[in-house]
Amino acid sequence: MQTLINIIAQGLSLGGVYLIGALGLTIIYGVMGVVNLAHGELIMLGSYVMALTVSTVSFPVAVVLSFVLVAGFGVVLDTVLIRFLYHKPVASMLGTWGLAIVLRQTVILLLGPQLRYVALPIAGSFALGYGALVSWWSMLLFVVAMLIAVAIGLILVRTRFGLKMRAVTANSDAAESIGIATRNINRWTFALGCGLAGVAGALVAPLRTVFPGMGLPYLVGAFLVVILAGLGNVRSTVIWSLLIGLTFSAVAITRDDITATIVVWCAALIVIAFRRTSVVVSRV
Amino acid sequence: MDHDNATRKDFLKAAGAVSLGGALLAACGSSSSGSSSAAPATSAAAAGTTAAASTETIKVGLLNALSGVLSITEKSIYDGSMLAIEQVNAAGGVNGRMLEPITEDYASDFTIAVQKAQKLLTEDKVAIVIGGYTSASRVAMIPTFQKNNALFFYGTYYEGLECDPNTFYGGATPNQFLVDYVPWILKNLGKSIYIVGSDYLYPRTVSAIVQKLAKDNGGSIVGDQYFPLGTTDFGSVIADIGAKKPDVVFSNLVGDSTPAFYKQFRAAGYTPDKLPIAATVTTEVEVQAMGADNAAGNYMTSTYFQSLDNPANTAYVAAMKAKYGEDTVTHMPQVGTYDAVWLFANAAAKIDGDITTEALSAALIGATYDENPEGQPITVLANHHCNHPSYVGKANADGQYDVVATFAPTDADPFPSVIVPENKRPTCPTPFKPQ
Repeated sequence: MQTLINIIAQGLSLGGVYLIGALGLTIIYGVMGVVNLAHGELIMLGSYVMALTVSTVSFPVAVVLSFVLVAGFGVVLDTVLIRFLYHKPVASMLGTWGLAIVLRQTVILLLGPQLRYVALPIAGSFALGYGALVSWWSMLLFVVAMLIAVAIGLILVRTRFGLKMRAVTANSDAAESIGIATRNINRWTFALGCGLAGVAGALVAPLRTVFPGMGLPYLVGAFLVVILAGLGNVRSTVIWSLLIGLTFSAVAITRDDITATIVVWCAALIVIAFRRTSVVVSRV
Repeated sequence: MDHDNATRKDFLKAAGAVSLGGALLAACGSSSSGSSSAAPATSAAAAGTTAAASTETIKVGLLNALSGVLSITEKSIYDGSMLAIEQVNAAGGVNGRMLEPITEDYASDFTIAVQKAQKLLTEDKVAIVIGGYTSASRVAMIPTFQKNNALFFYGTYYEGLECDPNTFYGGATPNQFLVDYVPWILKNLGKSIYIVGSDYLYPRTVSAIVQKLAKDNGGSIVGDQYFPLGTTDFGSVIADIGAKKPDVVFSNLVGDSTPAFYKQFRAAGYTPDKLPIAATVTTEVEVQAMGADNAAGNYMTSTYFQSLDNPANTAYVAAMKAKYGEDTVTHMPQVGTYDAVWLFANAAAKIDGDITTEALSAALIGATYDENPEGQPITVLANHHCNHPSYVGKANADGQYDVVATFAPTDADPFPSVIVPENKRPTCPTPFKPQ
């Protein structure tokens, strides 16, 4: 019983981390066809905004700052680089991979390579019964990730901006021809995706490790989710994030982390192999 | 005291200027020899760079990852070796010849490390290459030194099981920090141990030795788990630790995994008064990254702590802070590499004539550096390793370790009898064969 409770609790909290990383990635690809390999570095920037500001402002304000600053940076990136890569998956992979290297090394040069420290705003854990302990922060992370997913779902379905986003996703040229400013939609979608990466970075900073090279594992995790969920689909992103988190923690708790990593990736390969449409081509 | 520091700092600066001037001129192709090289560095500085330039320098290759993931630690290791080079030159160099550092960055990529080592040996023709950090970097580079009949000085403590003729090992081997540590843990912290570690050579070897030592001394291992490098989520293993209820967690986690594990362990409600962590790789660098409050109360073994109270370490910490700023953290691999530069310089000083690989290799055996910040003179042994003391530190609220146990210096034994049967022990040095 203790094992089962642990598996569910750890699975959800891990799923929350996958989800929060994958959301930004999936809407960026869905709307503008850019495979953003710099997503991990945007998460890293969010963590740095948190690490550098949390001593002067309160934690929630630092989270908002992470969103605003990384989203703002996204507008700049879109203007100077990303807009040339719309709907060119391969070019966008190369371009954003280069961007990732530049961002990482710039942070090393400007702020140094050392690991940074962010204190946990809510320390401690609570008992779930049967001797299972879960930290408050990982549960909060899961709740916030779900809230953000719901908010994005609502934006897509219930707002005019969301309607335009969906129009651009469905057919960019047709959307433009009926008077939707696709350029603006793309820019603000990219900014939103970047801002979400910033929030992800800010929220994981207290539990994980903040340093310039921290982004890659998040990118890999987010990609795993996005490949399984299909790009641009918020609901299945939620489902797959939680499925992966639960599978991983079930194997990790009953066996070990290395077996869990192998099982999750093999399962992903099998799912992709038996799926009829290829992920990247389906959106081009 | 302040006055002394100021003088020392100026002295180092002046010496740095001399060696830099020498390096620049040497780079321009100036080759001349013979000068009043015994002149103190300060007067040479006053006379400009001419005096230094008229002596041929000794090139030393410094090879570390100054960019990429490993730069977190390796930049500070490099800083330690640069301080040593500055000090050697300030003290008059090697028989009057200045050390000229040639820095190469292998960008945390071991294939680049091999290329850069080759470049340092064939293009720069350095006398020795000092650096490296992870076992993977060392193992990748050793064949290059074998092929080129050249020398490599590795400064980090490691898992042992090597004594290559072309490699010298400035850091400790497990017999120097585990053989005393594990019985100490069993006596002071409890009998049942849960081992966590990163998944590569060093943690796996250390784990095997810890398991053997624990069983030999009446302890038990209730679990052991390994994680790919870069793992930063430890929810599942923390749950397993909670279920197995050990007396102590033994950590061989490395790099960014370490702060993540300590933070999540504390966040899950575990405190060191009830369930302490005893580590081998949680240096002051990692403590700084996880925040002193997440480390406080946990244990670490090391041949060196920044807090060690001895004159050599006081001078070392002061010199590092003067050169790199008040926030500078000093730690074991950095000190091992700093010692390596000095051991090389003191060995080279014993050589009359050309510094060839054969002459240097022979001179390094028995080379000694008295100002070792670890607290006692350090000497290179016939098996290419060094003697080291060892300590157990308990992390305090300031992010430093308070020494709670001190063990007498021991000689390195890269093939410790605890895991290597007597008939399998090679005669050192013996060529390392990559698998």
